[in-house]
Formats: sequence, structure tokens, C-alpha cells
Amino acid sequence: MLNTSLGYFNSLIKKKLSLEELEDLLFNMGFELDEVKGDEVAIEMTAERPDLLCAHGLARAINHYLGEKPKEYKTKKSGYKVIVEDSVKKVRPFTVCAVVKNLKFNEDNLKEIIDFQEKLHSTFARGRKKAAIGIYPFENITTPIYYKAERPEKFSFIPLDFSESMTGKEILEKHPKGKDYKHLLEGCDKYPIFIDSKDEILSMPPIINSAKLGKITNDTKEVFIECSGHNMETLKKTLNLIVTALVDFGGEAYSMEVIYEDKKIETPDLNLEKINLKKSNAEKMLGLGLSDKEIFSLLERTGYIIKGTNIFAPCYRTDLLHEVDVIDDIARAYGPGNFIPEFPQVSTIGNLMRNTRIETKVRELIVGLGFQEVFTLILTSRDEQFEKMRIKGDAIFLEAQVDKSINMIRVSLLPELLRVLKTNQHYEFPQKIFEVGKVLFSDKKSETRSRENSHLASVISNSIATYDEISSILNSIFSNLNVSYKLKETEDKRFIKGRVAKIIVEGKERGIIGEICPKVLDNFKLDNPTTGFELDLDFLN
Amino acid sequence: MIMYVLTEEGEKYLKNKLPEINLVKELSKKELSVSEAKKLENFNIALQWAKKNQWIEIENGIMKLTKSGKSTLEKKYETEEYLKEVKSGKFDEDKMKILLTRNLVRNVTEKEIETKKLIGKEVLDVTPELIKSGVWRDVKFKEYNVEFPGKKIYPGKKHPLNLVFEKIREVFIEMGFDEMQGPLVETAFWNMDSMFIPQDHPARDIQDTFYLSGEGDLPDKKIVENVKEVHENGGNSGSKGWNLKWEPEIAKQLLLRTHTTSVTYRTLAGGIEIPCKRFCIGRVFRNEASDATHLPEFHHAEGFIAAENLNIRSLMGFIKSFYSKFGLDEVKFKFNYNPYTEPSIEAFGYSERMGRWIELINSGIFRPESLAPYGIKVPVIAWGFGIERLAMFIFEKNIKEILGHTCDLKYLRNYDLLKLEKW
Repeated sequence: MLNTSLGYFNSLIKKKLSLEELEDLLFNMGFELDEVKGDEVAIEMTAERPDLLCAHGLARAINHYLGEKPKEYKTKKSGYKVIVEDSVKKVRPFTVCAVVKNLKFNEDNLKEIIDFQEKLHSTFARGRKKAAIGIYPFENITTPIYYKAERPEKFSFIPLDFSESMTGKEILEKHPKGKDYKHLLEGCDKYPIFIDSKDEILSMPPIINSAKLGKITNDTKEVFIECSGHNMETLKKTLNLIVTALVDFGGEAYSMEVIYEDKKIETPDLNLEKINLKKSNAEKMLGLGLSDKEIFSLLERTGYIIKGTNIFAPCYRTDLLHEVDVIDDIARAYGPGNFIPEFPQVSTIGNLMRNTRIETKVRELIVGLGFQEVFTLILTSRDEQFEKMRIKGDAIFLEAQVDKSINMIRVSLLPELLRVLKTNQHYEFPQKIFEVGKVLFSDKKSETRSRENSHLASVISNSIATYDEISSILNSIFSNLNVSYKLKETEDKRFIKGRVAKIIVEGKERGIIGEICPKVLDNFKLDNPTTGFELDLDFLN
Repeated sequence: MIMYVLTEEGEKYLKNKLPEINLVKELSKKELSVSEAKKLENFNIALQWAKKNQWIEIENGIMKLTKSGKSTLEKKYETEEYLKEVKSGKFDEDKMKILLTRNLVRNVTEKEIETKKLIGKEVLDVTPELIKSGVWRDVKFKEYNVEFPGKKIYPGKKHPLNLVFEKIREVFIEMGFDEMQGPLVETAFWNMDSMFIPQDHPARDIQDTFYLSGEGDLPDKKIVENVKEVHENGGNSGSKGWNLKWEPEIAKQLLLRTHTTSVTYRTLAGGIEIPCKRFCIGRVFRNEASDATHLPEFHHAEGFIAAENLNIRSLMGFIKSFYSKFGLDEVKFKFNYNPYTEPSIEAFGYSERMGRWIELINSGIFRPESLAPYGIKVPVIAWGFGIERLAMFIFEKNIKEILGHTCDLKYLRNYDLLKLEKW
């Protein structure tokens, strides 16, 4: 979601648009105006396009879509150096850096760049795991800047939002950001820091900047930007996202020399990426016939740069893995409403699976016997499935579930039907309900360590509910499926002794039928006598 | 108590005398030849009983009265007396035997007697006795207030969601799609890796996915190797890949499937014959807190077509036809992003009832990276949607009132079975 003020956002768009026009335009590009509250707008965005997660980025895309020629971003060499020490190799091995000068910050764009940084952290950088971005007022920093790792109790500085100096260790323990991101430094005996030539600590990535050197304000004119992480490509892309945004703010980008023990690189790299696009592939996928000129113009409207007959992707695009991603941009520029839908003439013969057909027949049969179908949930709890039913058993249990009312996958439908009765006790009786549904068991030998069975369960609850009645329902089901069965007396704590039987089909135990034990009814807080059965339907397949 | 009434024959004899008495009467006037006597009414019965009572004898074809026969007319004939008794409502059980044998009386129930008493009266219920006895002709049936609605009763009914499933199945089958199914507990491989969802994608987060303990099996080595390649460097798909080391341990993680696309990819990897059209309806899970409109489990419907020459326009054309089968004729499209389709397209339908566009379906053309590992070279268009969202829209009910143990039985008993025909 991109939140911005409408006035600010409109000032970045070259053409004056009404709110409706903006909404239509966004829709055609593939985005939605989610909410407008006074001057505040929320635009639904996607993590796949991090370049659009700030107002300037989205405005840039809109301006292109409206016909503005995309421009190339350039850097000037600054000569400033960042020295990367080998000590970071085991913690956070890489960094890429840049300087942007001639900036004019105000309340709006300061908020924008900080929000953008946070959005990139949470989406593209996967919670700072893939990349952590630091932005600092460059005026107070003395180059060269060092990126190195130190023992966390050996260094200290005043972190942002705090007034006293803390060691690296204390920051992880006490600072809110330390608590949020300490897992990223777990198991490291040294923590990474950026430190300048006057031994002033800039930050401890990926956790927090120093309050003294790491806070940009309206007065900041020049910034130093670093991105640290584990994958050089990701870091370069991340840096480009920030640098191009700041250039769009009016800044001038300067490259820095990042010096590793074994190599020296110049960053940022704002060069264009050459794209190989086969016109016939585009036409095939779009279902359109297009001239080269049309394709080039459509590409320009989604930010690509055309030089002669060569296509180049801008340096802030992170999502172009394959030719199809470029074709997708052509489609967006063409506009979803301009495609003429055409029903695909692909002739095949359709069939339902056998178990679907059988389950439908079983459902119809029991509906015909006067039962109301219900759909209960597969996720339930040990308490409902086992404790209240007075049984013990094995099941597949959940871990780290958000909803604490659930902790296992059901092994039986009966307890869930009893829960339905509990919810509906104030309605008329008799209540006759059933469900055909899956139950799951753990099975070490199977590919997914689980086994699924389709069960049928039904219950009758009324002021009088007898074994005879439910047994005649079961009888009717079996006789209409032309399956012979036997009932064998058994003991089962869920049911009243002497009023419960195993259902035997072809010599195998396939289910249970009986009058529910009053203790169980009491556990579910049910007042009326209840009978029921549960049957594994797999014998029908 | 057993009661008796005269049969029609009994009534007739009571009125016109018994045939044997009538025969005696005739013979007391003059002797008759057998052939003359035969002309008398009920001669055979008369002959049988007159003989049995030893009232007559036949000599040389001439019938004449015996001595006791001659005295008969002066005495009371007990059979006739019995008939009179029955008629008057009194009777002696022992005496009935002969009348029953002669079919002159029959057993009646109390109901029949009561029924008779209804003659001329106003009655409430039409009974089998009224109809059988013919008494219905002589009674007046009380008139009801027929405009008062009947008492409410509850039939057995299918679940509303099942109606939606059936409709979706019907549409897919009509359009030539074959059903497919797959397991609810999946490996991350089939739920994510197989379709090129990167191993560090946020959708894999524990906040979204129910992970289970233990590891599942990975499929065939060749498939695993292809998937690994395509993730790391694009393999032979023409892609850069995710530039991220692919870990088999992450792919082995067990979870509850988060979409039915796992079923689609099992099908694709299992080998398909081109052209191929398949669909699936199934339960899926999201590790979320539940509220009135969200439950941690719900249902997905999805389908795909794999064939030559499919493109964005065919995808849009299919979606339009699919929804026209549900009565939504106005459909518009929007591009969006999805990790395993490119382009990805969302469709909206215009609802007359709501007076606004509603989100219908997510769709797209499967990315080459998600097909190359299985050797699929033709375009595959695919789409999927959450069924509960559609059901909530059709039935105008929150999901918790329909699904799970919180369902409202009153609603399920009363919901409009024709809702799907008129939403």
C-alpha cells in the first residue's frame, strides 16, 4: 500500500488529473485506488514492483504512461571511498554505497524517503534480511568510511530514538529495533558497523543508525547511502531504488569506490540493462499483431528506453527475469480494456472423478432421509476431538498457529457435529444433521506423512432419540447403496454401554453407531438425547 | 368388541324374507315341479337351506313340503329372528356363525359404527371409513380457512456451499474440463517450489502458512533437479532465475496447502496430453486469525488449459464465458502481479444487485520457469478463485453463519434454494 497526500502526489504528475481520471489510469496500469480520506490517498501496490512504493516512483510510472519520454539516470564519480574489512565476511559480507548531493528536503519528501526505506525493508529486502538500507547526512561524515565487524560489547554509540550510549549487545537487548531484528545477527560473535575516519560510528546494520550521524533532517543537503547484505545483485538493485528516487527529488548522484580486500567496485551502477525481446513471442502471447514502432512506443509508456532498435530496461526495475515480464509491460501499456476477448476453441471431454460422483449420491441419499447438511472445519482442537469425546488418539497437530482456538486436524466428524448442535440449541427439534468430509491421520509411510479418508457422520438430537431410529437410518443407507453390513456390539466411551455397535463392512470395521453418552453430551453442553454414527466411505471407492 | 351389521344381502332378506321361507310359502300354496321352482328368485339358496332344514322332499321331480315344512310358517324362523336382532343392534355372538357363513352379516369396527352415526352431521376429517361406507355422501365436511399458510416443516437440505460447488462443477464439465484432486497436507515443493515461488517469498512466512512438523518426500530426482536449476539460474527456461540458492530442506517442509495450485502442478508434472483442460475444487488453509468474513480454511476452485496458441485474449475470453454461465455478463480485466503467472489478470464482474464491480477471479499465463521443469512447451492459461467469497456474495451471509460449528441451523434450514439462479 502506498499512502500519500493527494496534493503532493498530483504536484509530481505532469498532467492535471481528476480523482476519477487518476483512478482509471491506475486501474489500467494494474493498480487500485484503495481509499481516499480527505487529502490522504491509499493506493494498493504490489511487492513485485518496489520501484512504485514511493510517490515519486509511482508518479514517474504515471508520467511515462501519459507519454513522457523516460530518462536515463547518470552518476558522477565522487572519489569517496568505503573500505570493507574481511571481518564482515562471516556476518553480512557485502555493501554497496552512494552519495547524493544538492538535495532539498521538506516535510513531504523527507517522510517519503523514510517511508520508502521502511517499505523496501519490509518487502523487497524481506525484513532487512536481504538488504538493510542506511541513509545519513553526508555533511557530518569524514571519509573514507569503514565497514567492519566488531565484538558487540567492544563498541558503543547512541542509537536513534535514545539519549544514552549503548553497546551493540545492549542495543539488541533494549532497543525496540534491536528486539525486532536481533534474529538477523543470531549466532554472530561480531556485529557489523559503519564507522568513519574520525572513529564515529554511523550505524550497526541491519539494526539501527546512530543518533548523531544517522538522522537526516530538512537541513540535510547531501546524503550517504549504504546497503548491506548477502547478495550483491540484490544490494545493487536496492541502492538503485533509493538513489533514483533521490535523483527524482532533484538530487545529483555520485558514485563511490567500495574497496574489498580482493576487489574494488564502483557503485551505484545506474546503467541500463539491454533487453532481448522477440517480436513474434510478444505477438503470440498478446494475441495481437504489432509493428516495431507500436511495440517501442508501448514499451516507452512503461518506462523502457529505446535507442534505435535496441530496448533497455531502467536501472530501478528489479522484477524482469524473463522476456514474459517485458511482454507483460507491453500488455499494460496497451491497456486491459483494449484486448478483445476470444473464447479458446480447445475441444476436450470433461469428467468428474469417481469419488466426487459417489459422495454426491451419498449426500443426496441422506438428504432424502431428512438430514440437513453442514460443513464443519478440518482444523479443530484436541479438546473437542479427544477430551470432550473421552477418547485418546493420534493426529496431526499444528505448530505456531495464529488462531489459538485450533491445534489439530480432525480425525472424526462426530465431535464437530456435536459442536454444531451446541451452537443451535435454541432452534426447533428434532435436529438431524450430517456431513460428508475429510478426516486426516498421520501416516509415516506416505509421501506427505498423512492419509485422508472421506467420512460420513450424522446425528439426531431430540427429546427422544433412540438407537432404533439411527440404526434404521444406517440400514437405509446401506440398502440403497446395495452394500451388506453387520453391527457388532462393542464398548466405546463416547456412547452408552449396550447401545453402541461397530459397523462392519466386508469383515472390516468401518464405523461406529450408538446413543451418545450423557457424559459426552454434558461435555458439549447439550441437553437433548443424541444418537449418531460415523462411517468411513472408502469402501465405496 | 366385535360388532356386526347386515350385509346388503342380509338387508334384502330381512325386507323380502329369506329365500327358503319364500319357497316354503310357494309350496304351501301348491306343489311345484323342480323345473317350475327353478324360476323362483334365489332358488339354489332356497333349495339348499330348505333341504338342510328338512322342510322339503323331492319325489319324481316334484317338490313338496315335509311335515316340519308345513309347520314352518306358523313358527318363528330363527335365522330371520337373528337378522332382526342384528338390525336392532342386539346380537348374540353364538348366533352369528350361521349368518356369517351365509354372508348375511359382517364384522364391523367401532369406527364404522361411529361413522354411521355421522350421517347428517358436519364432520372434520375425511376417513377411510367414511369413504368405504359411503357415508361421505350423507355428511357435510366442515370448511377450512384454506387461505391460512401451512405449518412450517424442515426438509433435509444440501449445504449452500455445496450448491455452489455443484454449479461450478457443472460449468467446468459442460466446458469439457476433467476433474483433478490432490492432498491437503503438502510439501512446500508442490505448494510453492514447483511453481517458481522463490524460497524467500513472503507467502512462505509462518504467518501465512500452517507448517507441520517433519519432512515429506521430494518427487522424482529429475524433476527436483530441474526445479532447483530454474530457481537458481533459470535453467533452460530463458529466465535469470531467482539468483538464490535452492534448498531441498525448505522444499521438504510439510504444510497445509495454501492453494489448489499444488494440485495443478502435481498434474502438470505428472505428464499431460496436449490439449489438456483440468479443474479442481478443494479446501485450502491460511494461518490467520478468523473473523466474520475470514476463516483459516476455505475453498478454492481453479482450472487450466494447456494448448497451442493460447494468449491473453483467450484467457479473457474463457473468463467471460465462464462467468456468463453464472449470470454475470459484464466483466472487466485488470493486470496484477502473481509469482507464477505473467501476465497476471484479475477479473471483475458488474453486479446489478450491488450496483458495483466485484472481484471475481485471479488468472494468468503460467511463467515459463514454472513449466520448463516438466517439459511443457505450450502456453498454459490458468485461473482460480475463493468460493466462500462468491458464496457470501450470492447468499448475502457472513461465512461464519454458514461454515464451521458456528453455522446457523435456522439459516441452513430456510435458505433459498434458487439463490444461484437469481443473484
